[in-house]
Amino acid sequence: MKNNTIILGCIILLTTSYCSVLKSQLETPSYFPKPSYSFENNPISKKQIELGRNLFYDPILSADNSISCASCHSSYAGFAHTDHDLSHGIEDRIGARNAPPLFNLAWQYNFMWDGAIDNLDAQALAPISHKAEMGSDLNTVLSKLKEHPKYPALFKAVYQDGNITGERLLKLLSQFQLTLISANAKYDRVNQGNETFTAQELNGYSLFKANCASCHKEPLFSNFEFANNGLPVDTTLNDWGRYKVTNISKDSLQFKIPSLRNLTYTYPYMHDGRFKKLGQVINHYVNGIKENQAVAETIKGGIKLTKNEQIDLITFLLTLDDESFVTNEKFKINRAFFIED
Amino acid sequence: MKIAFSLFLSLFSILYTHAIAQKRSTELIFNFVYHKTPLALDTFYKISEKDSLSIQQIKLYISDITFLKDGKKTGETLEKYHVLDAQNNLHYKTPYKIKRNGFDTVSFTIGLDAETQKKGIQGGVLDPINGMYWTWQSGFINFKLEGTSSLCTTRKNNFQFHIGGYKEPFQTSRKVSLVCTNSENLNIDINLAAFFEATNISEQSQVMSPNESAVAISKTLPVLFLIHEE
Repeated sequence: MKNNTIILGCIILLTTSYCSVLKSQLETPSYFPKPSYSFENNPISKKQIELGRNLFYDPILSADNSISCASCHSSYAGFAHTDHDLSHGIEDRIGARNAPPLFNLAWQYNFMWDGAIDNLDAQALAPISHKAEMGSDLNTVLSKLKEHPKYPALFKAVYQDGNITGERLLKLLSQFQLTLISANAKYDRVNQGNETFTAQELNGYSLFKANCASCHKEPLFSNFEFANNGLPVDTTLNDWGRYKVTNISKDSLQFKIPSLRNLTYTYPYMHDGRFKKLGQVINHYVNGIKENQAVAETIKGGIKLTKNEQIDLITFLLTLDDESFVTNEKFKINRAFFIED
Repeated sequence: MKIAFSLFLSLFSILYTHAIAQKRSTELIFNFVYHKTPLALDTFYKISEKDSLSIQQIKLYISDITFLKDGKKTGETLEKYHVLDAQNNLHYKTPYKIKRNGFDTVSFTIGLDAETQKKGIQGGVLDPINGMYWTWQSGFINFKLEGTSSLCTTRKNNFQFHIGGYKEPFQTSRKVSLVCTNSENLNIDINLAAFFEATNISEQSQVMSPNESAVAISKTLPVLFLIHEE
């Protein structure tokens, strides 16, 4: 009987501590939908998040130990790459696409601008292996981690057998990235009844709902599907987007619809970072789409907005900036780990 | 105390039955061959008067190995997934257990089912360190064959076949069913020569994405598998 109570007690204790970790790290507003990430295949724990954070910031993942995930995904930039149109890898090699911001990843089920990856855990394999990004491979990274002065002990503290495996490395990177939740913009505070929009923001919100919301669906500000938004192909890149993945001609020039949260911090915009300013983006949708151009149904012939309406729309979009997200200490580098003892 | 004891008992019974199953089970052996002789990697095989080919790497997933008698399942291997890699071993052995009645057919899948594919990153033989998970897109490679041949006009005359894809219309895992006799040790040959009879590598030397070519090649893979005759 006594043992029963002890076992029961242990179970309760374990469940509550597990829930409290989830609660503090993955807290989201009630109006957020259910995440699509399969947490049952990678149960979140504080220790794993911490280890995942160190791996995210560690250039050991790249061939010459120069580039970490954070090199192109900086916390202060909403985990995008400030002022870089295309991603920047080892030996100053330049990639073919803009490094997207990283937040609210648990709700996403397509990754990369063309959706080539459909699973967050598998995503990190791409930059680790790409010759213009980290230029390494999983086996090399694992060998380096096994030889590292700190990682073997850290893995041992998380996993009983202490083995450093590919599955574990990738799932640890996911754990940290899953904690990158941005849900404290003015938009959210208004939604929760703690603040109110100005008249201009409110007008911008109406314009947003009428013209943008079908693709950039609230509250995550994307439906995470693909669309052709009418950008002419950059002939120096010849990137046909989703077509490369599906081989279906209708998918030509379709790219993943990005979230509109944190736009202030995540410039430049679009899959190839061709626009530095939000005004250029709006101008593209208003003036850049030709009458009979093949684009998503909802923006056929372009969006009709006056100059003032464009300004109001931008004013609303800026209420999606989440300052507490880009300054959150929990998301920054753990300096103590990287400073030699 | 009671709980601890029953836990111990059930653990013991699992171990015990596992041990019995191991003891009674026999081995299923996959042999990489070229025609009827054991495959030699990095060795040139003559394919015509003037052309030859050499295989540098052959690696594939086999899953859901089941034994049947009169169409009904009578046994299976202890593991669901198997990675066969000629670089590690030309003969892959896996124990299996048969419940009763023996078997007259063995069936399995070349590659992995969609459910496993959808789960993404996993451990053990499915760990991406095995080099059988694509890095630039999601999905396991079901069948990987690389080498060189004078028939190929590619760089360094290389051929590379990374056959995978699990989403329609580019689903590439294939079922194989082989009639066999109920014997202690079952040997299945994987005849790589049959690959080059089915696929003309002078016309097609590289398939590394889920696409129509991958589907076409995947349909030819079952003919590589034959019950080994003594």
